[in-house]
Amino acid sequence: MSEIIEIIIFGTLRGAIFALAAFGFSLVLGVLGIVNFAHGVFVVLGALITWSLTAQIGINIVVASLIAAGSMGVLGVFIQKVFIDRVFKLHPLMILVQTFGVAVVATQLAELAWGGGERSLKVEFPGPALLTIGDIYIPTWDIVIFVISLIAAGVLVMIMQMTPLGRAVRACRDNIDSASLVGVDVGRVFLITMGICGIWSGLAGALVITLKPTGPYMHFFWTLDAFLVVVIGGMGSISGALIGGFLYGIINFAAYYYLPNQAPAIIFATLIALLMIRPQGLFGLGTTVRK
Amino acid sequence: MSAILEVTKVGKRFGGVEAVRDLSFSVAQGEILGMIGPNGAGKTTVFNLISGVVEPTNGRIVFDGKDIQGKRPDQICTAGIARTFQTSSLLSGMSARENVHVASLFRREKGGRTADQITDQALALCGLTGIAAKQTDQLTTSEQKRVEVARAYATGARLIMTDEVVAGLNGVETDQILDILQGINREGITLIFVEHDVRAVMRVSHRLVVLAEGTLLAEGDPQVVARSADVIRVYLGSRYADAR
Amino acid sequence: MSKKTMAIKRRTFLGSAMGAASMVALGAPAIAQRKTVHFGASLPLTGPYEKVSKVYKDAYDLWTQTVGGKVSVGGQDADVKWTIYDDENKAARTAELTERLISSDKVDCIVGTYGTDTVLAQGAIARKYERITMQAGAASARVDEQIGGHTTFTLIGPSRNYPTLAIDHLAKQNPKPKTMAIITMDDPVYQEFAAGAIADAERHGIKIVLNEVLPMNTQDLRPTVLKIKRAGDVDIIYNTGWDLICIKLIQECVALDVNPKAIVGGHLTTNPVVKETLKGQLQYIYGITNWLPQMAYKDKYYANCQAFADKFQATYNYAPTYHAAMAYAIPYIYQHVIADGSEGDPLDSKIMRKRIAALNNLESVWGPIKFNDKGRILTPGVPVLQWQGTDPKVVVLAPDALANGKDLYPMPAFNKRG
Ligand SMILES: Nc1ncnc2c1ncn2[C@@H]1O[C@H](COP(=O)(O)OP(=O)(O)OP(=O)(O)O)[C@@H](O)[C@H]1O
Ligand SMILES: [Mg+2]
Repeated sequence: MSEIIEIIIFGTLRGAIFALAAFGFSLVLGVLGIVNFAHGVFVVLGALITWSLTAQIGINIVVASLIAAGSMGVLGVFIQKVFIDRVFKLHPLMILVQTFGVAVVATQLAELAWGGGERSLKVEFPGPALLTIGDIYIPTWDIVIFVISLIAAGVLVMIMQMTPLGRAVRACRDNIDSASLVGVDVGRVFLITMGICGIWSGLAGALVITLKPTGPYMHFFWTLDAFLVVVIGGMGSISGALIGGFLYGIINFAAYYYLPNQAPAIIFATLIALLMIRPQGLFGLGTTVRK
Repeated sequence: MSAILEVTKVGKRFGGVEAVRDLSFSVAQGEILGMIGPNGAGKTTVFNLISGVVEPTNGRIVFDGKDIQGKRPDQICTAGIARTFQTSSLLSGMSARENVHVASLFRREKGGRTADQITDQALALCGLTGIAAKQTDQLTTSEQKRVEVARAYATGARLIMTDEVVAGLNGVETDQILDILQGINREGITLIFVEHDVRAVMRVSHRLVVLAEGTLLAEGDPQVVARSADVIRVYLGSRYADAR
Repeated sequence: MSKKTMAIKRRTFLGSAMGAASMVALGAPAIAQRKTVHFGASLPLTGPYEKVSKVYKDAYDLWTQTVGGKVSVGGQDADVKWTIYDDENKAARTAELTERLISSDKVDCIVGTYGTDTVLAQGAIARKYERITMQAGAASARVDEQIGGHTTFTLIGPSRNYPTLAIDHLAKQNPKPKTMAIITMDDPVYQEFAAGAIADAERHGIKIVLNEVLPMNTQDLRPTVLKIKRAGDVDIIYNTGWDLICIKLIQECVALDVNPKAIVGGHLTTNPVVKETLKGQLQYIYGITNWLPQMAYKDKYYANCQAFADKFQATYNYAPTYHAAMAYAIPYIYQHVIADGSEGDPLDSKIMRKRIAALNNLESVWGPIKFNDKGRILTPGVPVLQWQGTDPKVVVLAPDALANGKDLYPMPAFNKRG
């Protein structure tokens, strides 16, 4: 019994970071209606920039994480303005091809800057390294990251629910034509959405690098993870992505625990089954697939 | 009376279909212009052209002295033109209030009021205060139509175009929404009113234009135009064709 | 029937070609002048082996720089030329590229790729053309069985023997380890490592409590470490995987406070990323390595391994792993055997094959070179090391001839190290 509890706890802890990395992906999919193949680039660059600022320049990790997240926001805006916007009216396939190209180029550049290998950061955290609940040990740092992820999710939900900006983004997620006819500048909302996507994903990267070594080539895993989280949770909604992240974390952990060698197959089979039962995801907004 | 909107020799082709052809008309400041025409006459397309959803193939559209053809929908909206849709275009993930609120966010003139105040006023004007918190998919048709109107109103538009806003409503609901529109008009807001329901059109319109096959068939005093032989033939002809 | 005709035809054709070659050799005072010696290879430059491929490529390149871009072919100087393709770690692609190297690029010396299936594919094509290849990237016994000796020479010891010295060594420790968990990557070579480790452990009466086979792209080791933790008393955790797996394994052991008596990090603990990432946590971790800069091997150009390592570091800005020394040794061996023109064209495959097979402890930075009849290098087993000190440094523990320190065993618990 306690085996299952442990799997659920650890899966959920990991899931929070999957969710954090997937919020932006979900938003972009919901609002712009595109699958951004360069999504994982935000995560790995956010991670590597945090690493450089902390390990090489000596900036405090909190500040470094915020700078990294911010610069990913700028990168998001840049990618939207310079690349995606230009092909947006063309065939959806063109956007796929283009974001894929952006991912390849960005990875190459990152490899020039950081090399092809992995980097990681160790955070010295005051207090005990492990918390015990009954006979279960939980690394304190994992809980810190879990909490940060939840806070980041909360902030994003507040932005979406309470601010004019969030309203505009949600309006576009619902119906671009209708939003633009009540005065929402869709182009600007797209830019902001990519910016938000960059910031939150960059923050995910900053946390990830304190958990495990991260290298430029890993961007694709993150894109895939984000995609799967959104498939589970349903696109567009932050709470969906959060719960999707937890479930994905648990499925992942359980699969690698019980049948590691078949884990990838099991994970995908579960997802296919989920998709068949609920194509819109467990908490999907449903109606917004455009491209 | 000066013209707030002038449409001059506007045309729109969709591939082989000439949905609007060489169309000219103008709308005077403060009037309610009724627009009728058989199915496929091009009424919705005219709205799409004016609101920037589609770009005219040729011609000029001048609003308030400025050319607006080719501008983006949100630019035209903030310039002062709003519209409602034939089929509901409400934002499904939001409440009635949020729908109206979004519209109030980006208006140019707020007259010293907050977006919330504007929203509340628009909701009250359209009799929606009691159901403001409802999600849009739980609204009745009549409520949906009124949210569309409230939303158009909340943008601060000086010209509102309504596309079949009473279709599918019963007599009481129709009267309610017509009252609302007339109230809006009394605030000095110009309306273009597209409707198949001739009784409704006759009740509110100051002036009437009739479209057929994308061109202007007749225009003038509603009573006179409605009785013109051409209009009856085209209009009723098409109605019979529909019935078949 | 038509197959037979073909075979005969080919033999006749080759026979006459050989005849022509020897006539040239007889007629001219020396063999036909060679302006270039063309080395050809493919490497999985993209895909999971991207990083290690770069080490191979850089090491090939370092050799070219070391010899100044020129080698002697039967006593005459010739320019060195390389053609290296990206085989994406796909066997079919490797076969196609090897075909191209032989038929259209007309390379003289075929240098191995990395990875068992690709090396086998390369060898199969080389064999068809009766050419030879030399490889350093596949430790699998399948290479020996299918292409060893006649077609392929292999500079890396057999994977079966990888863990042997380490497990023999650990079995001698006090208190004696009784149980072992193994992490196996789901790929033939790693399976062979694991099979070897299991057999060695059982020979010493060490019980295998868990053999966890992980997919190659495993991202998270926590499920695995949790499973080890729940498996009860585990004295040794043995990782057959590469550096990143080792890092994650140790990080998760720290995170979940899993404290066996010994952790063997595998064959890549000396990759710089391991220490950079783990820092003090690397203390007490065992590893195995075929090669270290501290070892006392030398060749014509480098007086010791350290000199080679320094040159490599200075040129490519990262420290060489054992792959570098091994890869560098391949063209070095070719260079050695083609220098002599006394038996005819030194670039002829038959002559090269004979000379390589006859090498008797040729000195190289990779150690003495001598092959068994399956073309496999004869090695005494893979040396065992341990990381020691709060700023961990490598101490070699076995074999005795190379040892420069004593074990720290059993490893203290991670959370009791102050
Ligand atoms: N986006 C489009 N692409 C192609 N054809 C279109 C498009 N929009 C409208 N049309 C065509 O233009 C013509 C005019 O259509 P429109 O919808 O403007 O008519 P309408 O007067 O609003 O009709 P209804 O009374 O049925 O609403 C029709 O033939 C229609 O098929
Ligand atoms: Mg219409």
